[in-house]
Amino acid sequence: MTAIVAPVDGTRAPAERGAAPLEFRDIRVRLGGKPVLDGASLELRSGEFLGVIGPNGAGKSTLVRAATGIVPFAGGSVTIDGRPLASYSSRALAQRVAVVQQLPEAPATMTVEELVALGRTPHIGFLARESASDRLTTRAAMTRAGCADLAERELGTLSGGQRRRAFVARALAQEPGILLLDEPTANMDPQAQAELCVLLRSLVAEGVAVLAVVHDLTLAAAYCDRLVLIDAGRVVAAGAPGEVLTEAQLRRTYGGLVSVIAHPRTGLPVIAPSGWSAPAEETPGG
Amino acid sequence: MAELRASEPAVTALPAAHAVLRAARSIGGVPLAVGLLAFTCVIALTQGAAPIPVASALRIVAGALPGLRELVDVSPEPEAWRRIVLDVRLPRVVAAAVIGATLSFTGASYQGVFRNPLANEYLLGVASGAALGAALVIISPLGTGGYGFGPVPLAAFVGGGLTVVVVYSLSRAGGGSSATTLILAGVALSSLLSAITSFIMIGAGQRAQPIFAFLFGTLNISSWERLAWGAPYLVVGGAIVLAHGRVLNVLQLDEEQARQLGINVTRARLIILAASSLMAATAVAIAGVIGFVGLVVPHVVRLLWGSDYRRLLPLSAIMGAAFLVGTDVIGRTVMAPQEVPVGIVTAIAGGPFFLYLLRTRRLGDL
Repeated sequence: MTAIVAPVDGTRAPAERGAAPLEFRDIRVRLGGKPVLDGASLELRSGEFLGVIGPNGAGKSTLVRAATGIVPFAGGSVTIDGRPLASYSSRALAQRVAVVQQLPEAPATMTVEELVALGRTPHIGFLARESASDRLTTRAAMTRAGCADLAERELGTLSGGQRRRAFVARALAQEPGILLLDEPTANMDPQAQAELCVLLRSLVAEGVAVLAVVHDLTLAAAYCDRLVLIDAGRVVAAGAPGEVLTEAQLRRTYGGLVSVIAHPRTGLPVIAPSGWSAPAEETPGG
Repeated sequence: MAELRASEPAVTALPAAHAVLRAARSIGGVPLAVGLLAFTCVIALTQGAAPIPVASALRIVAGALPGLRELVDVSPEPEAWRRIVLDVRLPRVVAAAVIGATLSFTGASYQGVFRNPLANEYLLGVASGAALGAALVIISPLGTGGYGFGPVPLAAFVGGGLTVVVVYSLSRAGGGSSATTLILAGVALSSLLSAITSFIMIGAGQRAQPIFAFLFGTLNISSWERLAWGAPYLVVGGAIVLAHGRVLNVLQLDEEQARQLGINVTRARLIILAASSLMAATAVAIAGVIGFVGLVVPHVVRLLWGSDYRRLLPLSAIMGAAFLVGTDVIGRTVMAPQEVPVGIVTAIAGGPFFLYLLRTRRLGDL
């Protein structure tokens, strides 16, 4: 029996061992007077791929935005590596947390490489220029996200999926320990979706904690370690995909038009439409 | 690989324009811009009521430069030519270059801060605010003997700076800094301030004469002293903005992304705005209201060499200098001996060109 002395969770481990990379405690956010998050508590653990699922308008995107202080919260707390969010400077936060937004804006004439290079911003001093190692990191991030061949292309000329890859590459160039993504697979073909999820899994294997808002429940089940189901601003279920994605649970949060079946090879949950001939009693509310 | 830029077909409606673009991109920004500036400066030094040969003009200028004075023999050149080149044309060329560079540089910087291709010192009301500030001091007991020195440029700076702060806060108050709110706030405040300036001028009678110089924009009143007065503001402001070149690149993304990349957006915007407004107000104090430079030149530079602010800012400055030196030559020769204020020439030259840009390329892409 050999004692394992070295930490197993890679080089990007938080300074404060034991604390969850990201934790929301009883978080409340009001937007335009309406509660969007209404006391949600969840944690992103080290070395896991956490999927946040839930119906439209449940508060998933707001959760991601609250994690980096973009939306102020009316109550509760967000801690990163055990320290309150407010104690981080924007630069220190950006060195630790990278975000891939759902529909990020960028000038149409910016090239992919220019965009990805901006991911190095939190690591470059105010008056300093990109070093050779910054350029290498930028290059490697593009290769990893599958957009190295697009480096010279202007963003305005890309398809939705290519554009997404460019923004994922920028987040990788940030070399974050925590990566948050808001519907990263939207508008992607099934192969591209799977490729992105495989990429996220490989990051998790390197010790990055990944939280992604996912609409495709089958995809979430196939790739996430744990799922958190949010409805009306509260966490209604959390756990392994098989525990969260039950037909009873989905009927309560989404309604009765979806069925859960087992994948013939992996046994993981597959969420399928129930179809128009579904029995009348399964339609909620009549 | 400029040829591979997929947006190019949209840019190049005409084969000639395509050829010019490719040539400009292959020559590279700095050599082309500096070459253009040198060319316009030579034209400006040699053309006018008394045409002077290029060689003579260059020899006279070289003979006045500290490092070259000993190497150049200017004795064969007529004294009158020396006076014309050194005392009349050179200060004016330098003034045009400095003002053109400043207006174009600050135009690029404003467009970056506001993420708005239309932003410039005039649309945002800096010019009308500066003009009002200057007008108030000119008619007050403080303003003695023209407006070149003392409190007038300071008043122009304060007026211009205050205006941009008000426009910015108005546009923010409307829920985010949307392009429309920003432009409406700028136009409304600009009109109001211009109306007040006109009101002052009507009441001031003869004393309003220097205010006219502001509103038409002319380099005729430029002098070494005034440039020396403005230089520190331009150097300091320019250095601050240039230091934020990388930050301006990040600010081209939306505010949320800029914050997530570690930029303190509010602070960065305020610093860049303050520095740019210091420069713009200084330029207006020196030469009055000269439009279209800050709008057109940065767009041309973006079109030719991309929108990385670390290149865009200096290249805009050089190209803006060349543009204003060139238009000033046109202004003082086209109707000689009558002089057309340079602000009118820049508008006549810049307006149609801007419309051409609008036609060939969607403004949102710039």
